[in-house]
Amino acid sequence: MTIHLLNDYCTNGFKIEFVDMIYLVSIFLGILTIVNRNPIVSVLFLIGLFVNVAGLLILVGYNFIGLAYILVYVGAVSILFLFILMLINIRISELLNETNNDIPLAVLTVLLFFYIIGQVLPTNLTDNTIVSTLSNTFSDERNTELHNDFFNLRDLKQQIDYASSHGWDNSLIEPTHIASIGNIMYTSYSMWLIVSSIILLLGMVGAIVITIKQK
Amino acid sequence: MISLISIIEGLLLIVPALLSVAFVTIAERKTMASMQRRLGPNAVGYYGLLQAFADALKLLLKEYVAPTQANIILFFLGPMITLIFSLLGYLVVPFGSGLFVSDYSLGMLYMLAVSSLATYGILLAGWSANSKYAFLGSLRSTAQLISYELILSSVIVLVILLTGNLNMITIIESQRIVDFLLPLFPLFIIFFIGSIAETNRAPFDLAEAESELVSGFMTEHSASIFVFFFLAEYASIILICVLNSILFLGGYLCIIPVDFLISILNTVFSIDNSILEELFSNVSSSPLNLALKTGLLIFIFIWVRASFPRIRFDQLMSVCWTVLLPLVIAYVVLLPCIVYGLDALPTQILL
Repeated sequence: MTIHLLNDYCTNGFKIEFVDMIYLVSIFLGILTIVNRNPIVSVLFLIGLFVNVAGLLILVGYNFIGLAYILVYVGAVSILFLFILMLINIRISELLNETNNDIPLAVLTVLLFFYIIGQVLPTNLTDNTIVSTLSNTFSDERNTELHNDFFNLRDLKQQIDYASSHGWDNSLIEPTHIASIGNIMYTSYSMWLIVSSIILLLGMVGAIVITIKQK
Repeated sequence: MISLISIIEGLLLIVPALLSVAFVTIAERKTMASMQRRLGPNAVGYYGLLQAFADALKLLLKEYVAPTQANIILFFLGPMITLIFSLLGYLVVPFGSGLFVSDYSLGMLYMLAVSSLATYGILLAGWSANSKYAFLGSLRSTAQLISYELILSSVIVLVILLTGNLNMITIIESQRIVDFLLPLFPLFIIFFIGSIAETNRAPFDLAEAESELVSGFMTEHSASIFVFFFLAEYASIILICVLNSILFLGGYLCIIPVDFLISILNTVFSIDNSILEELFSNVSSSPLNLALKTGLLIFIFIWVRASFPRIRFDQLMSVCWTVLLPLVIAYVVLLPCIVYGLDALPTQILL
């Protein structure tokens, strides 16, 4: 029986600890983005953060969202950011501003966020993550574990925890996320698509109206 | 074992890609030489075939010089980023039927994303060198790449409208009846112009306009990191030619109409076609087809470089935004109407 339940994270996706490591790296990159004095270097760390998050999304199985993240945020928005930052001349006095007194506020915000999120999310499946164990130490009320004599879920937990959708059944038939999103967006929710496209059009026309020269 | 195989796969892809880069440089020099009635490189190896390796060896042995005021980390990171991201695109290219490293369901999107990341290398290299020529070159190059990427991605959207899938193999296989060159010929010309501009080649090579900026964004780079830029430029040329032939010329599909020829031979000469069919089925989707199409497109790249004078930067930008982009947008409106009117929308095959 136990032979069939080997941990094969080489072929079957990634263990959830890898995802935790990516979380830690992205937190590190986010801190570096804020701390750095040189705006261009700080935007570079922001790009690193974007790439990291996109990698996380692709690892977890959201291929399309991850690639769209790279394409839109990294490939277009951040390049324009960098482009404009390189063109404008930033005064030294702004770079020497003391920003360290905001750090306690940031830490407090993050802790509050994780406290609330950790209480809301179901904790049974994500028991192994560092974040959820941290938040569970503060609050025990939602942490109800399934104890049952017939099927002992605690033993099976190790096998459930692969944080990827690279299961064997997915290679038989796998509708891509882009097809699923398209099927929903162009049928049931077409009204919202039209509304959002009108908002985009308004944005474009607004930008043109602002920059046009009045005679 | 699995990791070993994946390493070998990667090497089997990257080493031929770099070798082809080396030979494309020689091909360019020889072709331009014969177009300008010169001999070109002819000393190293037969007909100068090994010239590229001699050049690379010379550049690798040279001392590297970095400007004192440069941001050293970014100065060396820029060329590496450019080279890595121009080589990453080869991952999803199908070279023959069943010959691929990754059969990724979002291959086209992956290629777009990776090619948009290669801009960072140029931007960083130009900024970190702390020289105004390099900086101006990188700004020009980035503006050009951002503008022309818009055209390329819109054309790709139109091709995907006809294939109904982002997978590279599906894009190729849906051209079995007719190459997309026939229904989308104007778009192919726009895409080709866009890809010449996207790879910073003459007549759009304003990023390294020698007469205005010394050598563009790589003015300060020398020795081995210059080799990185050089390899990246030619690797992206080959990749975008491969992309052109996949999108419009049918990728690895055969150039010769095999079935037609076999049926003619059958009816006219009444030949036993079992051997012929064996032969043609091997030829019909061999990597040689892709190689021929790509080689032809690379030759056109070199031909264009030898023929046309460089245009001004404002002309380049106005061509992109006021000529090519409205054309492509008109096509984006027109083509779905035609496809919908003919009831020719591709069926979704979920496999």
